[in-house]
Amino acid sequence: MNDVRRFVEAAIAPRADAIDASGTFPRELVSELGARGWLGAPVSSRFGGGGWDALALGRLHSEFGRGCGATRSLLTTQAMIAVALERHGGALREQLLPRLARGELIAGFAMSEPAAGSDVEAIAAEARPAPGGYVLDGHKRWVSFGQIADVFLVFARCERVMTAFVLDEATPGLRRTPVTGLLGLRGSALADLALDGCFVPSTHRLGGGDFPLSPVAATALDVGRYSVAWGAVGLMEACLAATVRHAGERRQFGQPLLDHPLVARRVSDGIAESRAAQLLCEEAARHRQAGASEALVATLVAKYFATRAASRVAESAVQIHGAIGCVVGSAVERHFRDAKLLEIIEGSTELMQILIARYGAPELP
Amino acid sequence: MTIRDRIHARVIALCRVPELPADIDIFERGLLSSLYALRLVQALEREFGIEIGDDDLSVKNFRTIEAMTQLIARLVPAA
Repeated sequence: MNDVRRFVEAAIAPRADAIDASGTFPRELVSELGARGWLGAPVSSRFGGGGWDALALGRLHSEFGRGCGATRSLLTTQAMIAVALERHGGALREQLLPRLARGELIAGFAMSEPAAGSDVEAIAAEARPAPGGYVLDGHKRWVSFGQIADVFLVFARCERVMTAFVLDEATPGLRRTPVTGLLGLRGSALADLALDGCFVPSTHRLGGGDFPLSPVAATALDVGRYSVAWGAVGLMEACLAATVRHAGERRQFGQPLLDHPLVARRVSDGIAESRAAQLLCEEAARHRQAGASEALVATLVAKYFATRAASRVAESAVQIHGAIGCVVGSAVERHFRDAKLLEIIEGSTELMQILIARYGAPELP
Repeated sequence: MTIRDRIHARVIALCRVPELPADIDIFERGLLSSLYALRLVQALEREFGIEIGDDDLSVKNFRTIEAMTQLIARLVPAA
């Protein structure tokens, strides 16, 4: 993992503010991440990936979370779609996975709609059977990397069942509109999609049966939560490192900020929360590697705790940096904005609370 | 333990109920949210060392312990 850290410190972190300001993501960086094997990390070697285990994958995403939230977001989105495709993609796997792993294809995750956020089962986009395939109509919102994606994993109702399709970006009737003015993760190249009679061949319908929540979506969201949890750990580490450096150097009232008890309290709370989040992520990794059914809950708990902690830690980092932390170009300012989004994407804090309260307690003997 | 007994044990643990007749619809009764159905699938895959294919990921195969027993018996005929 040292090579990842060196790369992030040398090539990613210095670009993070520029990526954030651009509101989109540099294509050449996608290719480089692919060439280095990091986009293909969750894909098995059979389909051209690295077949990394869950712990190594988590640490990879944490390192990128430390340097640049948008780049971590790219890894998250690609991993969500790649893992879902590998499980449910049938013949599309050979066609798409090697190219996703190499960074030749960028994939967008198109699930949310104007009236369907956390309540994903409320999606209204429709897929009508047509000769040789399906015709899709509807609107999708908040599609990460939607501005630059080559393919989209789109969810629509097909004969009332939530169904996943792979949609090519050149499909007639598909129109994308960049989303600007985001609070955080501005480099995620967000777009809204309008689907107006988009034809999808039947070969591009993914499996997944007729569950109310498509298993394709459930698989992807589970991977997304796992990735975001680790990304939050990296974000906290970046904030704490910057804060300790600043608070150790800056003197006020005759002593370093770090020696002021109220500052020390914020820093110590942050260090404890960051380490606790990492342990929860490692627990989720162990369950995932063991193929244990506890993995889903462990991932929910890790995402819930780590992203809430990241918000608190980033807020403290800005507070301790003072005015310096409120200026664009200060890493903690960017992390502070990004941290809030981590509590919303791939399942909000409140959705995590509902699921954890219902299913998180130890099972009955 | 029979397949039905093993499924019963997994399902009552997941649904947090002490007992569950084999013909009760766990989704209709609100015992398991559809948001969480994937965990049931994973639990059964783990219990029986199988992968449940896309064609079998149908609600009708998971509504009741009886339906799950028929599905698993078909996928693990030697069990």
